[in-house]
Amino acid sequence: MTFPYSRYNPQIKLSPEEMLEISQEINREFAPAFSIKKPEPASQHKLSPKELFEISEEIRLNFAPKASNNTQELVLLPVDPEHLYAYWNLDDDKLNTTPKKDSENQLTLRIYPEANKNTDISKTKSWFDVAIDSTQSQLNVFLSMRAHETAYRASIGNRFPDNSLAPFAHSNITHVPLGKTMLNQLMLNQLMLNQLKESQTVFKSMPQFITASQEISIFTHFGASGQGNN
Amino acid sequence: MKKGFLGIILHAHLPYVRHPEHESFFEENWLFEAITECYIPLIGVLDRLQKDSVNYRLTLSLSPPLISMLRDDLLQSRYLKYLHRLLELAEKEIIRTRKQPEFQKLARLYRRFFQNTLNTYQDQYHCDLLTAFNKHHNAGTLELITCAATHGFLPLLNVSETAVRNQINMGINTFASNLGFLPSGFWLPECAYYPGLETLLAEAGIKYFFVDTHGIMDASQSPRNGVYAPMDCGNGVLAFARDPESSRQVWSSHEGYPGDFDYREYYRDIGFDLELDYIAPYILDGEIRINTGIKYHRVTGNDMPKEIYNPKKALAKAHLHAQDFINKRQQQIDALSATMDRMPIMVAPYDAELFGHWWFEGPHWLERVLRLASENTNSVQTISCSDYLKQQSSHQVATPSASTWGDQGYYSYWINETNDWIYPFLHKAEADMEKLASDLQGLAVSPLQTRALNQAARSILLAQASDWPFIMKSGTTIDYANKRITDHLARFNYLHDCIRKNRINERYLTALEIMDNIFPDIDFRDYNPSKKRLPT
Repeated sequence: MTFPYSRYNPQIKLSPEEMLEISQEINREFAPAFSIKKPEPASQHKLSPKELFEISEEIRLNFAPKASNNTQELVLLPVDPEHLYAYWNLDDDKLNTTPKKDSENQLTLRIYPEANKNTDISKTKSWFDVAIDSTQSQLNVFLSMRAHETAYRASIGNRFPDNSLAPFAHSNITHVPLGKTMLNQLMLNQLMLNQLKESQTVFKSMPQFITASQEISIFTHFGASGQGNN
Repeated sequence: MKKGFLGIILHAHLPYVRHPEHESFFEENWLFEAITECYIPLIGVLDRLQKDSVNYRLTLSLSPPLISMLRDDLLQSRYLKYLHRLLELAEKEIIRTRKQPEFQKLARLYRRFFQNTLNTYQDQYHCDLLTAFNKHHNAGTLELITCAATHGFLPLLNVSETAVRNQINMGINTFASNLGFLPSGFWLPECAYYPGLETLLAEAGIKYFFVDTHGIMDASQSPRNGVYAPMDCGNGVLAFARDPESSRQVWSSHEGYPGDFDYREYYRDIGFDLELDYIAPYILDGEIRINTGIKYHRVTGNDMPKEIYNPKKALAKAHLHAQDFINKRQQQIDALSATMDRMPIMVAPYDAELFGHWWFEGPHWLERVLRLASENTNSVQTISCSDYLKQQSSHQVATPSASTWGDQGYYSYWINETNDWIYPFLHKAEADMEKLASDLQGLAVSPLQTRALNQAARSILLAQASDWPFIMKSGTTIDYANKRITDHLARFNYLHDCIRKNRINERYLTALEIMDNIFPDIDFRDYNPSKKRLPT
C-alpha cells in the first residue's frame, strides 16, 4: 500500500496486516498505564514454588491463631433484630475461682439495653442476665427486649444471690438492626400488586411460557456473594 | 416518553485466589471460569452496544481483589494455559461426538466460544480486561465503582473504626491506581450497612452506596417514595435501595428467569459425565471430577431426563425474558410515576457472575434489556446513579437501617455456629496491628521493617474477606476457607512476632510478599487509629 498524497515515504510499503501488527505492538508497549506497582521482593531471594510452600506451611503450623489469654475482654457483635453475639476472654484465675452454674454464685453475662431518646424508660427493664459456664467463651444471645431497644452493652462477672454483679470485663456498645422489615415488605408488595392489577394490559398479553419455571438450578457460589434475600 | 429510570448494577467480585506456591491450583479456576463465562462475554455485550451506538447506562462494581487478579502477570499466564486446555478439550469433543451430530454441533459451538474468548483476551485486550471496562467508562456508558479492600463484612469489623476505614480506603486506592480515577459510588460488601458507615464513606469521597430494600424501608424516617428514590444519610451521602421486584425476577430460586427449562443446565458438565480415562487430563489431579465448562444439556424440567441444549431456543427465550423484564419495569414506572413527585428509579443490583457463569444466557438477556430500554417505545430509561444524582438534587434525609442482601436480611449468614470462631481472631489481629502502628509513631522504621509491617497489614486485610465465613456457612469449599483464614492470621502472627522481636528473616518475608502480593501501595501507618489518611 502507498500513500501518494501524503508526506509518507512511498518507498515503504505496508500491508494492512503489517500496519495492524505495528499498531498493536505500539499499543502494547506504550499505552498509558497507571501505577501497578507490586511489592518488590529483594532480588537475592529466588524462591521456587516448593520453597514458598514450605515457608507457608511452617508459618501455618507454628503461628496458627490461638485464643488470647492475656487480656480481659468482652465483645458484643450485632446479628439480627433478635440476637447479638458475645465473646469474651477472662483470666484463668478468674475462671478457676468462679463457682459452677448450680452453686449460689453464677458466672453471668449481664446485658444492658441502652435507652434511646425515643424510649419511655419506665417501660424498659434495665438489664437481663444470661447464665454461662466457665467452659464457654462465646454465646448467641436472644434479645427478649427488642421491642424497645436496639443498642446494648454488657458485663461479664459473678452474680451473687442478691443479683449484684462483680464484673470481670465490660463490653463495647453494639447496635442491632431495628427489623420492621417484614411488615414493611408486605405492605410494599401489596401496594405494587395493586398498582400492577390496575394496569394489566401488558400483563395479560404475556405469553404463558414466559412465566417462571418450576425448576431452577440451585446456585452454589464459588466464594463470592451472599445475595439471596428474596 | 421516558417516565422512570432503571439502574442496573453488576457487582463483580471473587476472593483473592492466587497460589504461586503451587504449579497449578484448583481454586484459581474460579477466576478463570468467571473470565471465560462472565467478564469477557460482558465485554462483548458492551462492545456490541457501543458499535451499534446504543444509548444505555450500566454500573459495574469491580472489587479490589478482582482488580488485582485481573492485573496479575502470573494469573494472566495461567489463564492463557487454562484457555488453551479448554480449546484442546473442545477439539477432542468434536472428534468424540462425530457420530452424535447434535452434540457435535454444541462441541463446535464451544470451540468457537473458547476461540473467541482467546482472541478477545489475548489479541484485542492484551490480557488486560480492566482496559476494556475502562474504555466503556470513558465512553460514558459504563459507570465503574468499587468496594471494600478484600470485601470485608464491615458491620462485624466495626469493633474497630480503623479496620473499616482501611477496608474502605484501601479499596478505593486500589481502584484508583488501576483505573485512574476515584469512584463516586461504593458497593458495600454483601450490601452490609450499619448506621454511621456513611461517615467513613463521606470521608473517603464517596457519593452513594447501595442497601437492600429493608435498609430504606426501615430507615429512621418512613421513606416518602419507598425504594424508588435514594435517601440522603444526613451527610450528603446517598443510599439507593434494591428494588425487590426486579431482583426477584432475575435472582429468585422460585421465579427467576435463569431456571427456565430452555436455558443451559449448569450442573451437567462433561467433567462429571464422561469416562474418567478420557476426561482425566482436564480434571483435578487426573481423578477428581470438576466442571470443565462444556455442558450439553438444558435445565429441562422437574425430574425429567435432561434434554440436549438448543442454543437458538435458549437465545430466543432470553430475548422474551428481556422483553418481559422491560414490560414489568414499565408497569412499575407507570404506576409509580403517577404518585411520586419525581421520576422513580428502580435499582436492580446483581452479582455479575450470575451472568454467563451460572446463567449462561445472562449476557444475552442483559444486552437485550439494554437495547430495549434504549428504544423510544417504552418509558424506561437506564441510568447510572451518578447521572441520576446530577439530575435530582433534593433528597429525603434519613438514616437507613442496618441490613444486608443476604439470607434473612441481616448478619446471621456471616456470624453463626459455622464461622463465629473467626471473629475473636480477626479482632485481635486488628488490635495488634493498630498497637504496632501506634507504638511506632514518630520512630524511625527501616526499609525492611516497613516491608514487614506492610505485609502484616496485607495479611490482616486478606483474613478479613467476607468470602471465608460465607463459604463456611454455605458448606462449599470449607477446608479451603478454613485454610485461607488460618494462613493469613498465622502470617500476621509470624510477622507481628518478628517485628516485635526485631528479628525479620528477609527470605521468609520475601516469600510472603510473593504469595500475598496484593495492595502494593499499602501503608501500615494507616493502622494507627490516631492517623486518618484519605484515599488519594
